Amino acid sequence: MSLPSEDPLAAALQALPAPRVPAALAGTVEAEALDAFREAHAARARPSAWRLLAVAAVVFLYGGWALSAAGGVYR
Amino acid sequence: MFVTGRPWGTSSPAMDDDRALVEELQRGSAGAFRRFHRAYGPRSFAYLLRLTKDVAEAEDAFQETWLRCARAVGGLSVDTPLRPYVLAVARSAFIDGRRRQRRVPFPAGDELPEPTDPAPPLDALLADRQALAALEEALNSLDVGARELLHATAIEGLSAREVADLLGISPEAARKRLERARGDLARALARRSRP
Repeated sequence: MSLPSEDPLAAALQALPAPRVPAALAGTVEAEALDAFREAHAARARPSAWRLLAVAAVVFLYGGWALSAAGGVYR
Repeated sequence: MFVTGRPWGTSSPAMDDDRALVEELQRGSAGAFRRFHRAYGPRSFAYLLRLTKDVAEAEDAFQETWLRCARAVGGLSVDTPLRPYVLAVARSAFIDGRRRQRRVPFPAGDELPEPTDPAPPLDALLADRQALAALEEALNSLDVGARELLHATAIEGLSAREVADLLGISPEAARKRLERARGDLARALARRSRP
């Protein structure tokens, strides 16, 4: 459905002058967005409390199993 | 009303290489984010200006759009096409902004009444220099839904599926709305070209 580039309407609309983002706004928005992007990336990279809890649970269960198995060997 | 810039050009190189850009964004590359913003920022602003017809409102929605993109873009899957994604975020920021102002984003009453006369042939009107000069004005006289649809298809070149996803309607409904919008634009142009 997108208008083919040879469509006269598409060609006419594409020939309209494109609005320009005011320079001050573009700069401010880019700086703010970049900060938010960095924060979001850091938050994604940071292990969540649930993930830490899951790792602790695995270590505890596996550790308990390993210790009990070792106890069986040495008994 | 619009600040005059260069005419609409072809897509920027970043648009042809969305996958690589998304991969870099997933890794948290600040340079990739700047490229992303510079490739899609002007387009999102133009789209918002087309929706709002108001520079201050478009600027607020633009700021909100890019904060939302910044928070979410690192979590996108690599096969996400960025152009429809950014337009969808901009549309959502526009709708939320209108709701905060207690305004209906796409008022039903804003639509022109169902036309009874057949639309004049658009091709002939577009060949008329006088009518062509009034194209921007004619486009801005249409309801917000028609302006959005013509912008998304003719200027952004979104596919049927992408437009349907953007508007939350079926491709068939989008096709019908586009036909209606073209007819409305033809009538608006014809009114302006009459001596």
